[in-house]
Amino acid sequence: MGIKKEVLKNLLKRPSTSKYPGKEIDPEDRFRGKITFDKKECIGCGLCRAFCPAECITLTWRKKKFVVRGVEHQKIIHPIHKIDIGKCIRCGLCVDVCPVDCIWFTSKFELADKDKKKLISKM
Amino acid sequence: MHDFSLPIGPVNPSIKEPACIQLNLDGNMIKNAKLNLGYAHKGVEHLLEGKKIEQALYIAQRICGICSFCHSNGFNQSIEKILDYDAPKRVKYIRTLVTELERIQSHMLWMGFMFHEFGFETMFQYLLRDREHVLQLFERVTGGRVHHAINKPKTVRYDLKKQDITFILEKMDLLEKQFKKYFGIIKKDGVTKERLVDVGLISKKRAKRFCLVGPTARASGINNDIRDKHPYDAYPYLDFEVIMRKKGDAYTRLIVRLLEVLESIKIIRQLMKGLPEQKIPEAKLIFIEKGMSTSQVEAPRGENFYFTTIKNNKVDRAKIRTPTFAVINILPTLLENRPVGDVPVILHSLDPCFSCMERVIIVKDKKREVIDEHTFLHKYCDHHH
Amino acid sequence: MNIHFYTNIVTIIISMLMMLPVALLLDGIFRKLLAKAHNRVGPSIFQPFYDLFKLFEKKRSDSAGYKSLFFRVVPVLYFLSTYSLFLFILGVIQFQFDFILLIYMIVLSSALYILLGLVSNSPFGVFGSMRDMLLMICYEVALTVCIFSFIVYSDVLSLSQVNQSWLLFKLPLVSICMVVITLVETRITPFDTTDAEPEIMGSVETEFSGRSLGLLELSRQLRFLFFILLLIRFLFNPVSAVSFIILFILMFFILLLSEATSARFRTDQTFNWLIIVLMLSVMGFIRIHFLVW
Repeated sequence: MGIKKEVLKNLLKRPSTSKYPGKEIDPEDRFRGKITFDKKECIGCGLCRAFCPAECITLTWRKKKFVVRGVEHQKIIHPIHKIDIGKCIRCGLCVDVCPVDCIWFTSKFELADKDKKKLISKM
Repeated sequence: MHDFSLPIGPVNPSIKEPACIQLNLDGNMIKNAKLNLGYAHKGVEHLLEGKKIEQALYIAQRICGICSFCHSNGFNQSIEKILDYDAPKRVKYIRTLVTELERIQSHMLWMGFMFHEFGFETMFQYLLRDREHVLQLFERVTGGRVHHAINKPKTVRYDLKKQDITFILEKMDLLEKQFKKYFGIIKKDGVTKERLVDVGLISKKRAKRFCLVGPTARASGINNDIRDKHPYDAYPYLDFEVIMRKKGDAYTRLIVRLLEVLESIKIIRQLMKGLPEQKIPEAKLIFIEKGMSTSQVEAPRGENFYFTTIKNNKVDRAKIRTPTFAVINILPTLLENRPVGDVPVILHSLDPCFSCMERVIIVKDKKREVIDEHTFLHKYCDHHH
Repeated sequence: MNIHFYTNIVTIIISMLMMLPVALLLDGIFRKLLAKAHNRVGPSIFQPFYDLFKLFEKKRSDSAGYKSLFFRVVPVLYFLSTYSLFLFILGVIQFQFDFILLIYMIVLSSALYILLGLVSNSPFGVFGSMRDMLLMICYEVALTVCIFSFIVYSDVLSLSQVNQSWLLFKLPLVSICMVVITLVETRITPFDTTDAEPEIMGSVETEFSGRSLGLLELSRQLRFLFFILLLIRFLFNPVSAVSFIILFILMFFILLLSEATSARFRTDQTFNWLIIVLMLSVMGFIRIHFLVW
């Protein structure tokens, strides 16, 4: 008799699924969504690229001027250029290892696209 | 009726992952069955070679989708054994919490599909609806519904807040109420008993010969629960019982897994009550020159075994023996002299997870040796204890 | 030919054509209510219409079965034999033919379903047909005996002349057997062994796609409607339209509840149950001569 009572009760209840693309979903605070970075803050240490298991971070090079005791020098650093969102496994190693916190998680998870080239994000 | 062969082939609604079982039939009865595997081989062990330790931890997590935390925990445990490090109590409690939640979630998915195999769609939908509560819990505590990247060497990534603890206890009350209802339904339903009782009988002697693990072996009377025999994490501080039965048919395996869920709910309540007030250590990079160790973890399907060798801070060799590897060999013997209608029921009651099981064994020069641990260490390892 | 004949033909054609949308809508409502029992949203009630149009738009598949003539012809024959069953049951058409023709048409429709599996080029189709052949020994004979009992009790020769109401109470054993046989014929759990998806994939309908599959789905929905109407006609035979609608909804809910609250039996277990049904129906038939009230 238990299952018949359950079924008759559920015929009168509201459904527990929601019509997803119409209704928006709010992920929690700790949700690991898409990765974004801030190019200006990046000091070019290269740790994120060394630790990424999926090898999806690409670095570029930039000349940086700095002054030591009144004399101007120039050095070349390698900040982040782009991240391949299609390869990223969202493990969070780059977020943990970055010394200046210029990479972080967002809550965006609807990342599918028909074109592979659009999955490489430069910001 | 004449005899022909039927492939329960790579594409089939009853096995959820690709595997091939060739059945030789005589009318409606199976004469013998043959197992063809290898469709889901991903080359995980080769992928882990040469990666840094933190990278390898996150790759090992993605071997399986349902039992993902047990792989992460097994690898982490063998790293911590090399470092000879004992984690603080709060870290151990959080790891045990995620292990038990994963056990609940895996058993609910298994039960739902078990009912689907013999046509009881209603219970299938109800169990999947209730599994959503556990997935919401995962998202709140760890940040991901399926892959919880919460383990790190020597510590955990996130800490538990007070609101999280009340949320967990609310959900546990809800789940316990639903499960007591389901237990009542299963005990009374006539068709379930007709389909499951006396189907796929495994006696205790046979289970020992085939070296079965997990709830499949516990339903036949063998106690090989790693949480009891070699306790790890927070299990030495907890009070729980190992569910065992004697009969060994598909109905008993259903009852054992259902009671294990109720037992896990009890364990989680104990954990939340006794959570120590400590601070979690910060995550730092580690460096290991050389090391080798083994570790065992109790996955939802049985005993998961890890053997890792580390050279120069990179993983040299990681051997993973998943519980399905030990259990799948009994399938052709169980299928003999049964009607075809029993095939999905028997296959699913063993709880196979083909995607974490597939490995490749290379036979070189057809050599074969039987050795003990001492000889193995001397002959094949250059790291002497 | 006078005007009576032409109006008769027009009534027959219109009422037969009306049965198709009614059957599709009924199946849509069934699926929607089943989804509500499962606590989910479910498809819209017009989903069978969309499915039918989509299937008819598809091109012919590459199946190797198309080499044989039967593979192309038998779905159409099956659909026609199921559709013509409605000529017997609709009240507006005063069909004066014998009830033996009714039994013949029902058995022909089931036999063509079995032939579908045998002409398709797949072991799963053959397997499904073998299962249905095994069960047909019991349930078709039991159906024949049940219809015999109703007709002999009413002392008539044709279905349209049955005019006794509430035969449910006068022939209880036979009525129960009729309900169980309806569950088998319309493939509703717990007796839908031929449609066992986890065990034998698509069973009889595995190899068909496109227009043939559209005709098969339509025939399944028509059978559902036909058997509900047959049950109401025999067990209750209501006179007014209001009681007809109430009884229709009641029978529909009984079938829905059976689908939602039970699991599926294995082939040999279904066979055992159907043997009992056969014996009960024979006992009910014999009882007409003795102990009649």
